[in-house]
Amino acid sequence: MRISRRSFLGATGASALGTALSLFRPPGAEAQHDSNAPPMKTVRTKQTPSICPYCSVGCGILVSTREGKVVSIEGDPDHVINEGSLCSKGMSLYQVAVNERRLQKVRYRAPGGDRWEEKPWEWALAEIAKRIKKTRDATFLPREGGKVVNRTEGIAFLGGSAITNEECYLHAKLARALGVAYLEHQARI
Amino acid sequence: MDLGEWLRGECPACGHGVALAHVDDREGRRTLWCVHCGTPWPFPRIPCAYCLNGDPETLSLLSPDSETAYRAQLCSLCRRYLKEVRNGEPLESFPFDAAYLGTVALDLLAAGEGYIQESPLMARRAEGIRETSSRGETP
Repeated sequence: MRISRRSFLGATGASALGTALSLFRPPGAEAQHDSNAPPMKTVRTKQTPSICPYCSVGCGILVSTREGKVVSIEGDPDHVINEGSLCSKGMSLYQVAVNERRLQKVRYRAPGGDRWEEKPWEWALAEIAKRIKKTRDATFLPREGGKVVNRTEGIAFLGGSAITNEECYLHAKLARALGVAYLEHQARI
Repeated sequence: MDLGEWLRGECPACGHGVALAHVDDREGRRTLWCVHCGTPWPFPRIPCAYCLNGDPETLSLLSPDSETAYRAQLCSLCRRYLKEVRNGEPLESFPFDAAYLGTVALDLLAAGEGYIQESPLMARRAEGIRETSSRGETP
């Protein structure tokens, strides 16, 4: 077997090879643990197959995590759909999980205002509900040309592809219950 | 013969067990290598090459924190590990034999965690490995 210089991978491989060769002693011989080398620091990485959350192609991805934190996301080379490749959006998926520019708190800018202010979630959810109710009541159209239509023309509802299947179902339910006709998905725009 | 349909941890040419895996840095594909006859064959990234367990919860990659391209895939179901090197070297010129011998540090790390050496290097002699061996073999 030919061993090139590359085989040693620097000092790590060379010193470890020496240590390993010392393991080739006959059974019963005294083991010598006289190395002064400190124990090597190690990391454990978990690879989990998943599906890209963006468009309906459904490319396979491999998510690498260490201690619960995402360290990299790549295309799954064994996935039948994309065979390891990803589009530019899929390739930047890591930035969805780890991004210091991602907003962590609710920010609100009043109509006509020129600055953002931080608001609590409770306030934001109540405010959204209040405004949806107001717009819905103001623009609800029960009949048109003698036919019952029961639709809300003042609201458009936009879903996103990072939303799960089950969440999409709930969103569609909510939108139809409000009478929304303009229900769309971000990937089709 | 289409080696892409082999999907086993034994060499399709001689039947010897796998000794090392190579992951192509660009395409992410994994290739296993037979230490006995030198045949490479493609294999999926996730499963354990020995017991074909594909549950990601029971599989992990152990590596020095300074060099994560050199790692051992640990299977907590069969308690065996497979050394794996990820780099941009084309498969045709990747020195499997050299990488196999040059990554003995990984054998020591994995054996130190109580995982079983399945390829021929005799790291199984290390103290504490014998107790955890499910095959009950003693050197």
